[in-house]
This record gives sequence, C-alpha cells and structure tokens, in this order.
Amino acid sequence: MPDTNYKRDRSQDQSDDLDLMLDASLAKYAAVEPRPGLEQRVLAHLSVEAVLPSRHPWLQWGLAGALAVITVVGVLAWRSNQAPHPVIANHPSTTIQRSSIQEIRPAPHATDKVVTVTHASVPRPAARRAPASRPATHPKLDQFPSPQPLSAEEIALAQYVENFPKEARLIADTQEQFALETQKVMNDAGSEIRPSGSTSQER
Amino acid sequence: MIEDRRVVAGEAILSGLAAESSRNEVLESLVREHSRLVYRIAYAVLRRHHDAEDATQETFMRVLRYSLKLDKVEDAKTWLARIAWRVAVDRSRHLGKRYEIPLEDPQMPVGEIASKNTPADQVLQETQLAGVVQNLITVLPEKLRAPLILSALEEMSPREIAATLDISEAAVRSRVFRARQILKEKLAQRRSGK
Repeated sequence: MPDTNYKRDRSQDQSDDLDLMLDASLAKYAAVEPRPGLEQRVLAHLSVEAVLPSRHPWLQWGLAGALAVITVVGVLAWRSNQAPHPVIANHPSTTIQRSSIQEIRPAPHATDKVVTVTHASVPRPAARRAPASRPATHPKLDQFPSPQPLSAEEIALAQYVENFPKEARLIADTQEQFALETQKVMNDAGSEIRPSGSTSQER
Repeated sequence: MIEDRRVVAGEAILSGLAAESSRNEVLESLVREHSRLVYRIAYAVLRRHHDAEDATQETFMRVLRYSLKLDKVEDAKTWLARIAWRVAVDRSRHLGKRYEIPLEDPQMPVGEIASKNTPADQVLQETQLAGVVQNLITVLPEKLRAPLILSALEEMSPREIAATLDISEAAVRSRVFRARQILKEKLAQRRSGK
C-alpha cells in the first residue's frame, strides 16, 4: 500500500512537473513582443490607404464606366469599318455579267454594240486606276464602288443561256434574221411604212 | 426653398465628415489597443516576425475596408482576433507551399530574449524545451492546435477563443485539455527515452 501511494505520488509529481514545463514552454511560445513602433507603422499604412482609394469610390466606378464606353465605341467603329467589304465582295463578278450579255445578245443595232464594247473596253486614265495593293478582283472600285447586281430577268436569261446554249443561239439567229428582213422590207417600202406596222402585218 | 436645400446638403456633408472622422478615431483606437494582440496571434501562427507584421497590417487593412460596419461591432477585440486569426491562417497556408516554418526566427522579437540574470545552462535547457514543444505543437491536429495556440496568449479568454474559432466554450476547454494531454505524453516519452 505505501508502495502504491508512493508510485501515485511520484506520477502526480511527474505530471505536475510536466504541466509546469508545458506552461513555461507555452508561455514562451506566445510571449512575443512586436518591434517598437508597430502602431505607428500600421497607422501610417492605414492613412495612406485611406486617402488613396476609399475616399473616392465613385472615381473608380467612373473610370471603369468610361473605359467600358470607350471599348464599346471602339468595337462598334471597328465593326462598321469592316462591314462594307463583304458586301462588295459578294457582288457577282462583272465579267460574268458581261460575257453572258454578249452571248445572248444578237446585236441587231450597231449602236448597241458600240455602247457595250465601249463600256467594257474603254481604257481608264492611269490616275484613276486602283492602287496595286488592292485585290485584282475589284479593279474598278474607285469608279464603281457599288456595282449593281443583275436584275431578275437578266439572271433568268443568263441561266437560260447557260443551260440551253443551242436554243439560245437559235433564238438569237432567228431574231437577227427577223430584224434583217424587217430592215429590208422597210427599205423596199420606203419611209411610208413604219417598222411596227410591217412587223405586225408579217406576224 | 433653394436655401433650405443648401442647408440640408451642408448638414449632410458635415454629418458625413463627422462620421468619417469618428470612424477614423475608432480605427486609430483599435490600432492602439489591439495591435499587440493582433501581432501575437499572427506570430503564434506564422512564427516569423516579418510575416506576423505583414499579417497585422493586412488585418487592419481589412478593418479599414469594413470601417462602415464598425458601429455594428459589439466586441471589437474578438472581432479583431477573428480577422487576425483568419489572415494568419490564410497566410500560413500560402507560405507553407513555399517554405517550411523555421524553428527559430532569425530576427527574434524582443520578448524572446532571455534575461541576463538567468544561468546559461538553464537558458539552453529552456530553449531546447521550447523548440521541442513547438515541434510537438506543429504536429498536433489543426482542431487541437488552434485552441491551444490561442489559449497560450494571455489576453485571450476561453470565451474569446470560442468566438474567434466559432466553436463553443466547452469545446475550447476540452480541446485545450486534450492537446495538453498529448503534449505531456510526448514530453514524458521523450524524458523516459533519455
């Protein structure tokens, strides 16, 4: 019995000893003082920060809004500059239009021929030529910035010629022959007979 | 009518300025009263002088950011301790990825310098023991370590520790007790091993 009491006392003493050691170590763990002047440094930092951003929060929002507006306007301006090019590029090529017209046209009158040829082959002044840097597909953009597309009738006619070239040729020849005959009748009958009247009579 | 509006606007500006100046005064008093506590909380977590001071600055910066809510704060000390704890823990996690926390701060703060009257062997023994305890605290589970660290700070009562860690006061007491038990067992093993 005294032995157990002794052991209990000894373990109690050891525990107390450990408690004391632990208390001392924990006190040392936490016992720390900041360098002198911490308050002044913190206050100085706070005063600097308080003056700079937080007194004028509206200024930050205003700057952000202005930046957003400038960005939006810039994007819109850029897009409006970009927009016209695809419209021009989407127009059908003028060479196709011209060739199709020339194929189907019987050219009954000399004046029409002259006009068509003149329109296609009159050389431009050198000063008005497009710069070399421009793409070759749009050589006349300076003179004709927005070429008119083919009308519905012209498109239908061009498609017909493409699909049925023989028939188109036949029709064109017939038309030409008819025009020549009309001319001949007019020459024979003199100036009294009008071409419209002769045409209706012959028909 | 216009004069009345001017008077009202002037009063509003003056009251706004007065409120701002009172907020600044409150903030200044908080710094003067509690910057030491904030620093010690930060140092208890970070164990580095510079990091602790940076954490102190950041804590008061957060207070400045929320200065409009200062009027609603009931217990400024606990509120500050909570912010300081979070800042220090966040910083510790961030710094933990870069380097290990050293056992000895190269720029040891003033309080840790031993008295000249203490015998040299005792100073050495205490320093070694403090290092051992610090190591043991480091390997404690987070759940036990946090209340133990805060309980080591003399300024913090169990109620304030509970409010800081967002747990009950009973939980604080039991966790501190368990942490101390673990530390004592480890120290006893270490002593018997010698």
